Amino acid sequence: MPTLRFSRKRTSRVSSAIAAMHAAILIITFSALTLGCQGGGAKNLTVWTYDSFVSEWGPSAKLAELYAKKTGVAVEFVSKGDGGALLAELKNTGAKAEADIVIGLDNNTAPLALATGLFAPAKLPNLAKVDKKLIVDEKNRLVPYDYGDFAFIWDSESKITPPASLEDLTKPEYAKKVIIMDPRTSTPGLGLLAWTEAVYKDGWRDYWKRLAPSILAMTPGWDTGYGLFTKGEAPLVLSYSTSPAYHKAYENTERYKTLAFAEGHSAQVELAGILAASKRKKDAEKFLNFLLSEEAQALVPETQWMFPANAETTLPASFSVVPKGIVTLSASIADPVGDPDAAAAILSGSAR
Amino acid sequence: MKSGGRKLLLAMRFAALAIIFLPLGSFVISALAPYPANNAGLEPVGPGTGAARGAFSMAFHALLAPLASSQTVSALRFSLLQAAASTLLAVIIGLPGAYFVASYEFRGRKPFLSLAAVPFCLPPILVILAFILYYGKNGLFSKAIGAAGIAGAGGGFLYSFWGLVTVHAFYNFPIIIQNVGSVWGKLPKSREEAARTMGAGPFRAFAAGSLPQLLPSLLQSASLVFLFCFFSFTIVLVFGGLSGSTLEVGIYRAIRFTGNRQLALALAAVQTAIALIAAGGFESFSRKGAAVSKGFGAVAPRKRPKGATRTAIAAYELLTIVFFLGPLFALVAEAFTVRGSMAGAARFGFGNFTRLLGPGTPLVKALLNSLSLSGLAAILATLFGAALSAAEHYARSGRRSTWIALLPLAISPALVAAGLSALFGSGGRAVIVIGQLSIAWPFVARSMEASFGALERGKNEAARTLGASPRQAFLLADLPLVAPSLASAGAFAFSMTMGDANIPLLLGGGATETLPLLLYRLTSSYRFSEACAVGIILAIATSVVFFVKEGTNEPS
Amino acid sequence: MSHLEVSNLRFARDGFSVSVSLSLRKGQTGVLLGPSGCGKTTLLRCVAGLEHQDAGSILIEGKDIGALPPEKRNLGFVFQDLALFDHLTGRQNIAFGMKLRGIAAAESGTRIDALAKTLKIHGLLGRRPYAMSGGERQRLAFARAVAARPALLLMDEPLSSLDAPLRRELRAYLRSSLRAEGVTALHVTHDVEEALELGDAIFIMKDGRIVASGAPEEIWDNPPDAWCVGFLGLGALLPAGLVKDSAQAASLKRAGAGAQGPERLFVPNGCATLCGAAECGSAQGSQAFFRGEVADVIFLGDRRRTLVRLPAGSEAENDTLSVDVNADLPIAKGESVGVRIDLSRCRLLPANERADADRP
Repeated sequence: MPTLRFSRKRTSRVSSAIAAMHAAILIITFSALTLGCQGGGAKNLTVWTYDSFVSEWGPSAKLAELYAKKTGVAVEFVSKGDGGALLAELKNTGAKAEADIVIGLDNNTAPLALATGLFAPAKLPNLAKVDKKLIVDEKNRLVPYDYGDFAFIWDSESKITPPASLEDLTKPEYAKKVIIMDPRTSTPGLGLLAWTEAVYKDGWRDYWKRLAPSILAMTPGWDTGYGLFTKGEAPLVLSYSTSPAYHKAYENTERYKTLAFAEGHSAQVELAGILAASKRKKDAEKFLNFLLSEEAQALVPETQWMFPANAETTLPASFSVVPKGIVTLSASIADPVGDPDAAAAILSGSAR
Repeated sequence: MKSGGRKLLLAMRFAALAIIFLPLGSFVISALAPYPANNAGLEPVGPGTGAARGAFSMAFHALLAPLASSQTVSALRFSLLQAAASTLLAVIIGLPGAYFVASYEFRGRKPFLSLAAVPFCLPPILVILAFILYYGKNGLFSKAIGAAGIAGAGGGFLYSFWGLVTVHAFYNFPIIIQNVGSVWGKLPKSREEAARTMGAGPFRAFAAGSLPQLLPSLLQSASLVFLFCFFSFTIVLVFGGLSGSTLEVGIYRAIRFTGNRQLALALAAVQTAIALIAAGGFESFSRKGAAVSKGFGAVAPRKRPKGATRTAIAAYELLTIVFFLGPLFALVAEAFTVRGSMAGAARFGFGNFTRLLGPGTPLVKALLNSLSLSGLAAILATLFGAALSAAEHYARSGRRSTWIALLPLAISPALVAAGLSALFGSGGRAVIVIGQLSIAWPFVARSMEASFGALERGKNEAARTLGASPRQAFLLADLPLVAPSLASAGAFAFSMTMGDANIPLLLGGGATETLPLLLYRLTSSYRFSEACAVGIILAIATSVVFFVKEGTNEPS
Repeated sequence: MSHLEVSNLRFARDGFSVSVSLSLRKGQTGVLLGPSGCGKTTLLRCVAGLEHQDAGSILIEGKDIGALPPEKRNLGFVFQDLALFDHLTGRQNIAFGMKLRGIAAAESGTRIDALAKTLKIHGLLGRRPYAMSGGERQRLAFARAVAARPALLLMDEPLSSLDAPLRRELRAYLRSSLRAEGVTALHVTHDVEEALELGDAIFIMKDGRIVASGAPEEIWDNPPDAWCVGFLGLGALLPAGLVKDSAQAASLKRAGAGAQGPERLFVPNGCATLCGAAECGSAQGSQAFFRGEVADVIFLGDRRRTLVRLPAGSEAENDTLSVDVNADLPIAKGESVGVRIDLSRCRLLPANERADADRP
């Protein structure tokens, strides 16, 4: 067979192509090595939770470390995305979920979660130290581990006077000055919906109609909305009463202030529960109990930026900026499936 | 070669269809699977029971109700409206650029063409951050025009319908410049000149002579922009939230929040139907455009602009820098802005980066994860896309059409992710690779299609007459010619997968943290400046495509 | 008065320059003939207004159109790639210019039909150009250009993209159509045969200048220099010193008075004949004799072309002279032959560059 030689000038095109192929080979080898490591085994106690819980700034790493030191049991935290995704994942996998514990549902998603029948009652001694108001389920299938009031945060460096009630927000001086979250895709949005339903009862739809002109943006999640707020897009944002503590702790500023409305606030109570299908219910119970202990609860404020459920936990200094004595309303959503859509539609309708 | 080529082509097509339809199929099954019609989280009915079939048909009928609901209709209307308006605006902004790039040789011409990679590579969250940092109330741009004494547009503009349309248009107009510009540059001027000699003024001559041939290319790029805007997700949610929501948002909510898979399926069906029309339009305009570019005739070489044209080009470049690159610059500035204490002013510093290199070194871990997973996905996507293109080219030399590569463009990403996690379970590393591979390979296939098409059969046949077997002819004659565009397509795929935040997010994140995921977690934890820092690293990683493109000198 | 008058038209770009003056009478077809790159297309485009000349004037019927944009010059232009509008039908293509010039639909319709019938494309008027054959498209392009009765018709190598038989066929059409329309035309080509068939006046261009102009017969009889001879294929060029007899040399006609530089001996086609080697005597009267060897014989149908290599040691060493002989004359390669040249028709011409470099 005659050998063929095509004389090819080493053009820069070919050189770049060769460089790219070298890079490709490096990547493949590297990936092959790391792809194999899936890590973890069935022996660990598995906890399903949401993103910020497992992030470097969340409590999971410390909790696992403390618990391992105490009991020698390894706990693995797996994130399923954000809060809403957690519930959806549960509904999809049902009894086949490879988890023992779920951390991250809240009082608004609890009814749907409990209806799945996937959770088992837990006997937790530390539950006695939790404020009775926070208990969502008598059977203790879902127990509270932290809570926070939804509140509007005000930028004190803006030129507006802070509103004192939900109704105040509808005043013309606040037109396009409020950022809220979408009740269809975020728990703060749901919280606001529950809040308005608690305060206005059947008249909540009218309230949303009046609120519409004040809304600058309705973001899909808390993070985008709060990001817009800190960038100065609007002076008022729906968030948690504990948000200013972060700024106090990390930025040493008291610029952002929680507005306490006299009529009361709705709250988000975050819940954890043991899955009935778990094969390590006893171990799970022990861990959940640990979660409610002072030691574990002390981690909550400056990682979750929420109040610890265990009333006997000492709060860090940064929480001094959070107003005490916020009245927490008992708030729920009448129609969890239809109301969020209705609320969003009311806002869009008025925006035309 | 023919029968072997045919078999290879069929095998590749089968593989492509499998990649496309397996996740889709698994989702459809999970949606239509025996759940009672009012899916309020009740126990699923087990398969194999008599009630299963009844429940199945109930579920199917459950699809019809959402299809006709007012929500679906308004979501459809809004999706179409914003996509159409965005496309129109993108075309209006992009056409002058296409003209300049086609007819003139000026400084900055090549970078202009590379800008078209931005929409594919920058994740939407970065775009949002960048736009806020620049156009927001306290943004660089607003402050600048405020200092110049010009009244701002009003804080609410960004969050209105037209704000959304503007963001979309700015995000996508480089695509018009590149696609239309490259066709325009290859257009022979004789038809315009013929019209001139027959009495037509310059504009009339353009309309009669060049426009009919530009139109297919223009419509082709417009279809592509339409598809992107139609499927737009995060940007719509943030900037258009009040004026309406798109079908994709509806699907996302249905899958991830209400768990209503039937609704998701119904919405996706509507969405895909529209998208297929747009994709079909894209394909037919591509073919018409290809026929046009085969026409003969001398092409006038690009000239240096003079006088008024030079001013116009400079003005256009300036506008692009101010309005398009400005937000990206704001992103960079933010990453280096350290807010140690609010009492003092924000200062320049590397604090954001060093904090990320702190305990646990999340940045390094995320970077390595991204490089390995997305890198692997990109390599696989490149190999697969190129192989499919090659198979199409060699088996049916002459008529080339990787229409299969268009199908993924018409399917909702949320659906694909949900289907993938139903198949493989979420949270694994392999799923991320597969998911990202699915989004990248169609683009590789389409761009390689152009390169293979440009291969003159002559060289391959010359090799054959000299004694080469088909495989040798391919390796020695064709491959060296195609290799630079292969590298370029690979770099492009790499930028896409690195910048993709959707797949890891939609797959629920799991234990593997990639750069985009780190970005999202930062923004969920109040840490916005650090998020920008990660954004810069991400942007650098995705901009690798620019450098490789320069090296291979590929106008794509 | 001349219909078209181009005076001192100058155009210079990137080391390439054109400097030309020419004129055409009404109804005349002028042909710009020359090798690639000689500037003929540029000149044509300047006349059309598609390029801007640096200096000079272009007058049509006395009116200076040099400053007008193309659409106001009332011209017709047939492009090399025909530039037909693919999205319009044949009829619409032809009607395009007339519509722009405000000619009423009825009148233009009649004109289109008449033109189409003459050019035998009437049945194709409803088709799009891509559905027509090469020759049909050609005729359509021509019809479109002349439809509005332009003052001047410009054609830029319109037949160059066609194959040879079609080209010949269309040349005939073109010639008769040009006569019938009575339009003044300027036609650019590099094909000598085409120039001869179509041109009333031929302008030979080289390096941006017109080196010869006139009616075809004039140029054939009196080529100005050796380069033109080579380009037009008028005959053979041999070294001037080949003619040793001083009387004969003196009697040779010269062209190009005051010509500087080397000269070549121009032997027109047909002036050289073969004779037996023995018959080669010394030069006498107007006959010159040379000996040589047949290097090759090429059968051309009705004749044979023999390439005779002139003897070594002479100034024409290794020059070959091509002599056409009767087809039935037996001649073989390698034979020694004699060549008889009728000097009365030969001439000495200025060399003006190596002939073979410019041979088309």
